[in-house]
Amino acid sequence: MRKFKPSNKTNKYLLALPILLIYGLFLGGGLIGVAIESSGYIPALGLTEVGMAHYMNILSAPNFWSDLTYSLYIAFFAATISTLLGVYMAYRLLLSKHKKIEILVKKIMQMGMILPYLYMVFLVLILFSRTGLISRVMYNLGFIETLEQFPQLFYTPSGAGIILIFVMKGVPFVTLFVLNIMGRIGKYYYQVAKIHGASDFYILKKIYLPLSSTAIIWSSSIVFIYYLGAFEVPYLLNSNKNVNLSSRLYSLYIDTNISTIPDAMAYNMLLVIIGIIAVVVYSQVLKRIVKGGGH
Amino acid sequence: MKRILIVIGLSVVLSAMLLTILLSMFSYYRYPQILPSEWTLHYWMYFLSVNDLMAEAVLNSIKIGVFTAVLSTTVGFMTGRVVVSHFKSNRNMMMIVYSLPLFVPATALFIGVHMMMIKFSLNNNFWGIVISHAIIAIPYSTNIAVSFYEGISIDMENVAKTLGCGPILLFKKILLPLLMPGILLSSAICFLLSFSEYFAAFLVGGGKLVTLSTLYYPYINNGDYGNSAVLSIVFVVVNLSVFAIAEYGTRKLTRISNYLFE
Repeated sequence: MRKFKPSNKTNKYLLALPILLIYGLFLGGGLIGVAIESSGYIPALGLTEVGMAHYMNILSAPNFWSDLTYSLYIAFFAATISTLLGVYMAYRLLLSKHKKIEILVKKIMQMGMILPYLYMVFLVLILFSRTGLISRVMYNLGFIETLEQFPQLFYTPSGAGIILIFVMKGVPFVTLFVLNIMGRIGKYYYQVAKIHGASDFYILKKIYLPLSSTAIIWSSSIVFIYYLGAFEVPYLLNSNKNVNLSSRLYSLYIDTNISTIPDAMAYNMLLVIIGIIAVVVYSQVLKRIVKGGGH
Repeated sequence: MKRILIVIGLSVVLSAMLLTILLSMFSYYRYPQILPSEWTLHYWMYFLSVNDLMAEAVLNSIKIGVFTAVLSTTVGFMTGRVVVSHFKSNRNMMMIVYSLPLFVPATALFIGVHMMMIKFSLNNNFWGIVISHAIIAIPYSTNIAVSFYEGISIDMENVAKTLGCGPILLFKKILLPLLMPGILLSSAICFLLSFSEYFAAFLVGGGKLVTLSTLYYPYINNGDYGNSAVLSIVFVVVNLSVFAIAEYGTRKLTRISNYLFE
């Protein structure tokens, strides 16, 4: 009997060609180009000395390590909070008995996911800044006497405002992503475990976390690396003291002094390497936590 | 307790939306005023007729979004086909490969992309921005494509083939109708990604090609509430319309259980 194959070999390469071309030329080509220039080799500018000097420049700069810690701190906290809340929300939505509330919450989540980061910045500023709506309402109700009494969330070293925006965007992403998988798993396990007297949290930890682990690790890692490399939100809301890596990279990249280009490229390569190491560590730790519940 | 939390959350979201609308129509907003006062149409007039750049930016953003959606959805569904039919066992591995752009910090990624755009003379260029946006949209479109192809049984194709169906007819009559909701969903998501994206549009557009987000950014940075509010509303209206169309369309076209909407 003849077997039917979905498509032949030429077909396969033809179908894969566009993605290979786009990734190869622009992603791969870009990174290779950056790597070459980071070694100091830019003949067009008359720079031909090859070496690691520019990496050393960056690594020995006084603010590099504090910028790195600050970036990792923001990415880690924002991603962890988004993941915890997102998984919790997905689980609650799965178990929800109130159809109307469920639909309402889902709609809000979808809204949160499709609104641009820049609009989130605007929303959060008009709500939570010192002159924002909440501060105004508190003033009028007599909870605070001057606006200085309202906590400063933006342009501060704590990065609270940045984390807040990231969480507002990250929770919907994780929730919808995880709910998609949890919805496929269904409620049956929950009902069976419930009959045997397991608590909600125990069921989540022992059944739903391990079963939806791929979706959780996946979505959480994506938001983590996104927060590490995000530009516009930190660039708008950074304090003068702490600047995250991507804002620093951008400032270096647009520097009018041509001789800093290799430094910028070295910075770029370091950000890529740091990003990859960080996301691998992050996802492995998360994997251990999420899957650990199954044993 | 749960009810109270939902009510608080909802009222915060709604009041923020309402405040945005008010800020676009009232010019005076001094602390500790709760709501702005002094009604004005200045900001809307500025958007609609005074500053031509604004209309141009919105139009540019929509055009870039549409082309990004078409390009990334096409590439995504081509790739999805290869992944589903040729990589049965190492699907997770393939998922990491086609999602690579998402695992490179965006700023670093786009500076590399910008360099290549300069090499190909695509900087300050419409197509340059489209391709840059496609790079971050393709992982999502491919992911959607994979989950839709997985829902199509190979038997269906085999039956058609035994009846003498050629590849073009097979695609048109069997695959396309089943994939349609996925294609729509993917297009909507890619459009939204592109429409909201700032950094690549700014870097590759180089200030020569203005999009809604590159125009929006300085207003927020300068704390210009009135103009920010107007552009925010434009943003939200376009995004919600695209989302609503996609949701309605997918519901109408759905033949297999789908990815994001329920």
